[in-house]
Amino acid sequence: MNNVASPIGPLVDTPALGASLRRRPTLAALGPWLAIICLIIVFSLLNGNFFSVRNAINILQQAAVLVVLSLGGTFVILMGSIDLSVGSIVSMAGMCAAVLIRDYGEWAVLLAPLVAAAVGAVNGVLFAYARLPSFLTTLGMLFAVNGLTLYFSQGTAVGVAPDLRIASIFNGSVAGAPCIALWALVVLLFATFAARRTRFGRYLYAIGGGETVAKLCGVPVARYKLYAFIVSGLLAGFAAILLMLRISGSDPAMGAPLLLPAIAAVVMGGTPLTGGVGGPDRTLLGVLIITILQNGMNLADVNPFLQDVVLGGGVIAAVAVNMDRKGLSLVK
Amino acid sequence: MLMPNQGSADAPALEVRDLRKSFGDKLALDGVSLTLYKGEVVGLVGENGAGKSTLLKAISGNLRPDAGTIIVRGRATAFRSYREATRQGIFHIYQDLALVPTMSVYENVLLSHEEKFSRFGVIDNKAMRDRTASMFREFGHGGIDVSQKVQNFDFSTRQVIEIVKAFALADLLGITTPVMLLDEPTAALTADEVGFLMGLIEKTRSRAAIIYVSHRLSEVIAVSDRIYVLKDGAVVATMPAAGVAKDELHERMVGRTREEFFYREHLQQPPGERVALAVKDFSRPGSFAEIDVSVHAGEIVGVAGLLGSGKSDFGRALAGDLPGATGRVDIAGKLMKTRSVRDMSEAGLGYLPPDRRDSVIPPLSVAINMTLARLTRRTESVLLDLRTEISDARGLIKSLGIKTSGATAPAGTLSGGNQQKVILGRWLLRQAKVLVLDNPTNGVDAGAKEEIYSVLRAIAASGVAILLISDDLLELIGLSNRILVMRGGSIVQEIAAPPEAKPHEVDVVAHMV
Repeated sequence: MNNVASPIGPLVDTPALGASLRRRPTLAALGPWLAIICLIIVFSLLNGNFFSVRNAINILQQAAVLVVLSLGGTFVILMGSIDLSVGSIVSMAGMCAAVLIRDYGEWAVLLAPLVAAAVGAVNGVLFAYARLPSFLTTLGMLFAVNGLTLYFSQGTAVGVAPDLRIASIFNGSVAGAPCIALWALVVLLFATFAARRTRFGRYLYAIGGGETVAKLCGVPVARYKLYAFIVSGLLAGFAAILLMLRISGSDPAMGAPLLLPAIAAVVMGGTPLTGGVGGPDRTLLGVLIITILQNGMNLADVNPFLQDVVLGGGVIAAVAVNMDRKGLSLVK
Repeated sequence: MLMPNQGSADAPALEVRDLRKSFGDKLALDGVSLTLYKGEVVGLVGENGAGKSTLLKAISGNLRPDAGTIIVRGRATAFRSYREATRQGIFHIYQDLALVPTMSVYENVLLSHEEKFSRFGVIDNKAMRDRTASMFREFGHGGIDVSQKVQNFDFSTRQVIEIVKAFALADLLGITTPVMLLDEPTAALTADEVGFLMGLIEKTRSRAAIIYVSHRLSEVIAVSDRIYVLKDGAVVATMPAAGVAKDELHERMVGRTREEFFYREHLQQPPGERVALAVKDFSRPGSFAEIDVSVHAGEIVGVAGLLGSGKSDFGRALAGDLPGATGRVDIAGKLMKTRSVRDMSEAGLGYLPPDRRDSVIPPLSVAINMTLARLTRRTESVLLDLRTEISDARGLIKSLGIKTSGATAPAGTLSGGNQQKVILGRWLLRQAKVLVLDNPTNGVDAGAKEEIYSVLRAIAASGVAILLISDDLLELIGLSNRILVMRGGSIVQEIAAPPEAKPHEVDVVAHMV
């Protein structure tokens, strides 16, 4: 494309201002890394069992479901929107998966993410085309999807046999690495590629950074908003399968406690709720912070109720560090 | 300095001495002094960016000046907030009204002064209502139901509410001569409503001191006693309003002679053969009507007009960003059957909106900002080629002379002029055939303007058709091959502007007003 610019030739002489200079990392970019290192040091000192291969594998297993779930949320938050229904979608897709395995054989489980993607599509249509605020749309879906799951499951859990062949694909280990974490890694690689190297990802950054700009450049804004919500639903469905196979069954309430950690992980990693900056790779850091905190506090015998207090403080601290509040005249 | 005929030796209601304010390296106020007496209306005129709004904000405590003195009724002050200024009787009435639409009239009028109507923290709503109602009666607007929500009133009534609010507060605070700062009060009003507002000013002028800012010069001349002309942050002329002609005022506002080199007039080329943009019978109710324009490849066609002439709406509608326009539009010989933003950009029309916030994504890199429009072409791959993006961006950074620390620097770190060049680069990469530019040099300094003009000349020379909508008359005259003048939504005149016979500003202004 240089042939487009070159007929114009240099119009104004500008000294080359170090065009290849690398940007200096900011505090917001380094913050999650520093937090992870500090947590590892503190918990290693508190409990000798923390700093071990076995516990590292433990942490990765614990983190996997949250990684997949919050990667979906990352795409939505990158646009400056929010998906509050992902917890409910996990419950619904998990329940679908368990029922499908029971009634149609274990491979029918792969239909569950499609159900989840369909719920995401409903979110997307209401938000992007009916132009309802994503906060309220997905808040409504949170309740509706939860209700549907309870209605069809009659509020009871459905177990699956732990010796399914499909379970070994997700629960086994390869060369010492837990499969579930490897699956999460695969999703992470795909998500990062999608965000950084595809038009889809670029559009989401553009919509979050300046929706009017994106529109005036010819970006089909509504369509890509819909895509983001479908991806969010799809990944929630995949997270549901991982979770279901990990706990050998599905409980109609199993997704609800995941919603807030998923959003917290995205924000703690460095993708602000206003969108436009951050990305999937950053979300991994957020998930690790949360998981290491939970794991370390368990090993250090911290009262489980107080664990939530610490976690909450961590979220607030992360937002305080990450958010550039100077330019904001109003904080809502 | 002229003394107004107010027959009083009192101290001025407001005196501003040598006020200075800069934003970064841009000087917004360069030593402004101004005096305002009771019973007087002072008109304040100037081009966009001359410093009118900054001056009003500095006076009303919304902005802290870097240096200078503000003296209110003989006492030097330094307001730290608008609330403090209000307590001294300074009221700033904004272009975009500062009323809470979901609250009632009386709640708005007495907002933040409820303590005068409270006992032990409990608000006496009835007392507030009565007080407000009596104020409206006093100003001859007793018909306004003060318990109604503000959003139920039309725009001009809201303006009345805003002005009455200022007087009500002055009264409440025991101030006999409030200073009213009216910033473009008629910008969104119809002719009838303007008359209504003028009536209100007549009714109140004896008991206040008013600064009246407007782009509508005839209004300023009619309503003011004296007029201050502001240019580049300094007062360049003061004159009694009686007998001033609009053209004269305008010339003082612009205040510089057109320099041929500044606008690269020697690079102006005759238009090419091909018609790149053809517009026929283009109308939009309430905005513009029956516009016929064709712009040839390589031609720059200027669109002049005052605020409200419909020129900005015309540009936005062409870009597909304003629904409801009818008529025929052809781009590069292809009839546009549907005209969404996406259709227009896919056909090769690039639009630069007047507000830079609508064209730059500050946190994203220069390279990403530059390649965004090209990326939306249907023929582009869904996978990004980051290496090409960076090298294309570097090419443009070099050829357009963009000052940045690199192609990966966030666009928000660049100066306004350089951001504007990034956007022009965006449409170059997109290989746009038509560019619709609305005030492309809005808020950039003279040096950056000159560079942007160079870039525009080069873009035109490469065969792009440019429709240049601008409030800067000299820019229009200097850059355009011909100028279309819009008034009241229609094109009222076409003025040729070949390099050897550029029209004078007065020739253009004559058709604008």
